[in-house]
Amino acid sequence: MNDNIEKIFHLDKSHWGACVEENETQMQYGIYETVTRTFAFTFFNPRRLTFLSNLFSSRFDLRLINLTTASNFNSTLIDNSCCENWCLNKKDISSVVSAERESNEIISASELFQRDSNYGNNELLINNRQYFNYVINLLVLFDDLIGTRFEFVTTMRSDWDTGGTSNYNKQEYNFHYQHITVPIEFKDYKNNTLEYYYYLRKAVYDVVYTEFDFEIAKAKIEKLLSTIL
Amino acid sequence: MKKVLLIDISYRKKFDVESTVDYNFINKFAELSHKQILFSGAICMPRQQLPNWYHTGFDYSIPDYKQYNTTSFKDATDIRSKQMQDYYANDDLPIVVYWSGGIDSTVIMSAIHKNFTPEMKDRVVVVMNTNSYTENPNFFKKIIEPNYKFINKTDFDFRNSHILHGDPADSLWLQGNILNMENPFKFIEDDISVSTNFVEFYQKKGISESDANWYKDFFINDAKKANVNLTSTADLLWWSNFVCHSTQSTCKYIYTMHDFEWNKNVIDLYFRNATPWFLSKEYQVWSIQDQKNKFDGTVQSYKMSAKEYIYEVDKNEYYRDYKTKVTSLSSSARRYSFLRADIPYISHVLYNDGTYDIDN
Repeated sequence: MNDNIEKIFHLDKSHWGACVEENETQMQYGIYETVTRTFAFTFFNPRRLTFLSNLFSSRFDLRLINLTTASNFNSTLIDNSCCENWCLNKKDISSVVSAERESNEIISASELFQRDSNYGNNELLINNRQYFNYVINLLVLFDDLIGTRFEFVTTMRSDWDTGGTSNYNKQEYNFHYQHITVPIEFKDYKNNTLEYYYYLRKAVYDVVYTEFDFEIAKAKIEKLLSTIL
Repeated sequence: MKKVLLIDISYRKKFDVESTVDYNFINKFAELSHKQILFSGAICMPRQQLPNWYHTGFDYSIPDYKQYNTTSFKDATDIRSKQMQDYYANDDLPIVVYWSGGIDSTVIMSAIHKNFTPEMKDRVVVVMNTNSYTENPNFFKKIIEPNYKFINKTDFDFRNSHILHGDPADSLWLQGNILNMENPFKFIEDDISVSTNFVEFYQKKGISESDANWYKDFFINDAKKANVNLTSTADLLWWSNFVCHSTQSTCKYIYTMHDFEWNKNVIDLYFRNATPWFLSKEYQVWSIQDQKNKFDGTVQSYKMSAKEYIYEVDKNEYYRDYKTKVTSLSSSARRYSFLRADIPYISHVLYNDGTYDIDN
């Protein structure tokens, strides 16, 4: 069994903060929820967070924030055990609201504040953190599965990864999300395996987008993943 | 001094490419001077030009305020369901619902699901596309997919169907711009021939007395053209509110039909026998009564009454608590390009400073 698959299958509630991907940077980003005005999740890789926010856009309006730029940022200030208690200042909130949602623009935080509880109950958001983490690990998994087995995909992806922390637009998202068609020269792969992996990835993302109950989603996803074990 | 920007299309006889100049000018003016304008977008429609197949369900008469004294959004929606069921009972044509997945069209589907008889539900055909699904996948999976026929094809016989669409929903929520802080129902006994309350109301908004009197005369005359007799200040406030907002949705269909052959064909195909769901007297009354429950300044409060109605049916707390206003106009414009807001249908701009009459 692939190591990462095994890890994902064992990332249950007691390990919801764990991730199969190591942080090799000093950067930290958060996805900010505009209704309860707080952070849903933090991570070091903006591309994964962009993807995560798009997959959860069926229930939350999530925007990508660079936390590292905040004047009071330090490496122990905010993580997934407390991010729901942090908030942006008014100027940054204004930037978030005025940014077009589909542009996936990264807003740089200027300062982080303790969240005002008057902004409403964010329990539903907190309850999804385990789900967020699970999906981050799925994204890592598919990159690993597809990238290591099919080198050309890694090359293609790295091309649009070179933007570093630049904005990831809808077109790139669609490429990642919908790119199921396989170039004809790869048709000879036995059993169309690459095509199947793309199909599988899309099927898993569909589950995430449409299934709001984490336990049900997890069961459906693991059933899908079991086909490649 | 603030102005009310009135856009009067009732004198338009013919449209041509040059008429877009009018529209661009109006848009630019409104954009540049929005701080000086109390309200813009008022449209006085030529009601006699409505196509005979266009079923608005609205009779333009002044409501019996006492009858509707406690109308809530929920009540208005359930009453609308009953009205439409009665209307559709006269034949057995399919009932087509244009579902974008947004709040307004989901209210329609929720109302149908909650109130229509099983026989009537069997006649419902949901027209949707991928955007609709991605906008509200939960509602599709839970309500539409298991219970209704749904299509995304254009080869359906729309002409021999009833059409339901979600206009003019936004104006119901936003029209508090005019009547904000004012309850028209306290002016039921207030005779407009002698009362100064309407003028004072506008003056409080920053309009000069002479301008306010101009608007008063304008609205009274406009109502006469529609054979509606305004007698009280409540009537006048009602009419100014209604005529400025709700007629807009009707106009966009009849005016895009005039000289733009493509639009004419598309509207004839997709909007014959069309009914704007939210154009009912109950919705109008609710809208001007219930300012405090329409928007309390928080993002999630916008259209909360509608989201609560949907929640009754689909029990989706994410949609109720986290659904925010998105630029549905641009989205829907992409889906139905013939409804784009930049289609010109305006002939005159009426200001009250002597420059109101733009010559065609």
